Amino acid sequence: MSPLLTVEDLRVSFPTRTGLVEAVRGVTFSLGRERLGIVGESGSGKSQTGRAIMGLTPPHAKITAKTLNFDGIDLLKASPAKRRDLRGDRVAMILQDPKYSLNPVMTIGRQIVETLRTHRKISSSEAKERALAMLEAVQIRDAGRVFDLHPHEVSGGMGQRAMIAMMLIAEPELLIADEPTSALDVTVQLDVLAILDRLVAERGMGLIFVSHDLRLVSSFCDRVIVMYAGRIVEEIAAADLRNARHPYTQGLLSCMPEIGQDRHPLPVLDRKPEWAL
Amino acid sequence: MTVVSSAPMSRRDWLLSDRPQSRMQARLGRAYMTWRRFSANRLALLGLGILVLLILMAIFAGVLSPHSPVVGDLAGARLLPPGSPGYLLGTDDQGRDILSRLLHGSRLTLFVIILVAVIAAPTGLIVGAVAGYAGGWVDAVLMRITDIFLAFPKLVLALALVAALGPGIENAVLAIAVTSWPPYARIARAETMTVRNADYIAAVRLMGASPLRIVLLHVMPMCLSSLIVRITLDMAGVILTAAGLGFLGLGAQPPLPEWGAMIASGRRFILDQWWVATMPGIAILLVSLAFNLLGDGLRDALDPREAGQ
Amino acid sequence: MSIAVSAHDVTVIYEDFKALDGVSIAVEKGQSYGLVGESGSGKSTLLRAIAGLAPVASGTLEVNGRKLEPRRRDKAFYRDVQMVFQDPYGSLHPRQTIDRLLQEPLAIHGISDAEARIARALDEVGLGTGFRFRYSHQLSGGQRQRVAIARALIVEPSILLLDEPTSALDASVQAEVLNLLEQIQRDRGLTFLMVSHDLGVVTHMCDQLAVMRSGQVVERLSAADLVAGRITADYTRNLMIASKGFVRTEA
Repeated sequence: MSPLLTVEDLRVSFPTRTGLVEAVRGVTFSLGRERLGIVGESGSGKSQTGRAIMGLTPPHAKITAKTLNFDGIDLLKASPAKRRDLRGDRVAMILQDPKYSLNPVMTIGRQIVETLRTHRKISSSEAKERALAMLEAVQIRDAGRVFDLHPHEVSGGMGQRAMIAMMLIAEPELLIADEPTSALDVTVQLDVLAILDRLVAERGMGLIFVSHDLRLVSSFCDRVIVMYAGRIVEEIAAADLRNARHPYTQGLLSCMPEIGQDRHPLPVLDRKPEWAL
Repeated sequence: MTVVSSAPMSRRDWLLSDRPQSRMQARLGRAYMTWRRFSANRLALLGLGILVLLILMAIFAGVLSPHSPVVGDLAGARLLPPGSPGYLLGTDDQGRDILSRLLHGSRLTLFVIILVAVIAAPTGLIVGAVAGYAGGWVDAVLMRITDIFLAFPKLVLALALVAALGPGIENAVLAIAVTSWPPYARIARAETMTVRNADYIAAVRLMGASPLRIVLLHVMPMCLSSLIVRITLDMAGVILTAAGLGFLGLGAQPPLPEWGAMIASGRRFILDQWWVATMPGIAILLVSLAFNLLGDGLRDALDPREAGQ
Repeated sequence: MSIAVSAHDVTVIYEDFKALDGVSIAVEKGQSYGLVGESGSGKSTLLRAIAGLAPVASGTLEVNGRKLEPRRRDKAFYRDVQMVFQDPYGSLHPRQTIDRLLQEPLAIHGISDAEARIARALDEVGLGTGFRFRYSHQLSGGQRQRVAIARALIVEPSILLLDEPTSALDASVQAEVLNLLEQIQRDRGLTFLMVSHDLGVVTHMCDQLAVMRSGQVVERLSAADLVAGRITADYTRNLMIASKGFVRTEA
């Protein structure tokens, strides 16, 4: 089976006053219908990798890649119109904070319906039906009421569910989730992840889960890519994470305080300059 | 970290250093960055150039003027056109050299601008910052007073004030200053409201700083840059208002070479001797334009958001 | 043991929202006390109420045996109690150098030998004097938080209020800052009152903790009890489970 997404030698750079800053420096991976985690600290280039695939990189940035291929479509050569068509239809993205990614002056229901009708030719009554079904699928109990609410009238967890509903309504084949639960409380976080997990499994999507939280990612994904300074330092099956070889991955795992582990002081990461080479 | 001091640093590197060694270097470095952003804007540089020229003109008016600005040659040099020998920009109906009058007039223009800025800006800043930080009834009272001033058209209010105080350049300045502080108060208040709940203000409160200290040392500096930009952009309007008052005979009194008053007196001959009114008009236009260009440049250079990157 | 900070039946009301509803805690001198909860639990509000930044409607607050007035705090209070905020990007003045930031508390309290104290404070938080004349936007998140800690320590308080001091930082930087805080507490015998949503961080740092929810204390227990699972409230148990990460339920 050919992979859903192939990324080879992806580079993203931003021109600044002091010269070109490379955010992503040669990232290569491929994705099938599986859950892939991309983990790294701030500035590692993990979010820019996701955005480049989605086509949401700011216009002044420069993107190059040997291959950036989604199901046979060369994303770098595709026209802006073609990419717009793909977005929301076959590729979708969930962002960290629903407050900023939902339109504040439109009801949640209408936003979902609009997304659907942009990509599918269906009647408005059918669209509404499917939107309600989708809201129920993300375990919003009172879907009919939430349908008519504005984003500011719902809680963070509810907003993120609505966001997921909106992103999954057109049944994309690839979902990129950029820190989808970092703005949520821990107990809500797990509910949202469970919903995401079930939908990805049921619909056979490919998922890229971008996060700073190595532990959360490893408990959720099949495979994990660890990024440092714009490069992949390690790629490992989530189950084998404990046996990670790269000192950066090991450092990331061990520097988190854990319940029941009495380590004073905590081991700190000794960043070696050669990691960034 | 090792400190490398062997290689001699160029002046530019010293200014741009990200680990300054002294208070002075940090301040100069920041000023240099602002200057670099400002000087990237050619038009703003042009504006600055014109204003520097204006200041030089004002300082050296006495040396540069070929004739007296107030006493004319009524017998031999009435209403000479530009380019007449000895009278580069021509003369007016009293036989006075227009160039000399413009040169001396720049002093009056600067006098008006500086006094208005010195009176209106701090008033607006203090009223706005205090109202915004204190909130409650203090805010209500101060802002209602501001609203009363804002409710009148600027020129009408200035006219009324000058009419009450009596004509003259000092009273014109006072009238303009009194009518131009309310917008500054509004800006300062808006800036203060965004800043007052920031953690860094809470942090100084937690050090036990008095409200006065917080407003003066921590809140006001945050309002300064947008205020400076606004004042610069307003200066064109101030010059025009001063000229307008002069034109109506309520500003500078004859024989003072105030630019607005010069236009007023040239109005009578505008069809036959166009230069009498046009020359001061061009001077006003150039200085107003310069302030606008400068303001635009400052807006980019002083934008506080730049600091984040 | 004497009590450094105590709150008795404290209620905080913002307009018509009850952010704190009859909360009582007691923190012993030299202890690290943790406040755990999710957003809206009132954990940060309690910290702000102690610092005088939240409107206390009723109840009593005491610091080192002195009763605090509901709104006003005197200068002496701020030499005893200092706070470190969550967001290192928002808690440092954007137009001041580190030097200026650290001078401010010394000027307010009329403390002499500013030069030596600033140098010492920067050394103590592991920054060194090379950072002294930088602006905060020239620093990373972890460095900024170190500056915030230096600023809090420079007036030599005995009690430090920590409002999620590491939640905005990367995991590896979090470890460095937590180690620094522990070091400082040991050296100076400080009392910590720390707010966090992360049970891992709280059990690592604190001996005693209170679990909060909707403005009330759900449970008070020691870190050892929490680790051993001696929990009485269901909510605490839920938090424990949630902090272990995602568990796939195979259908």
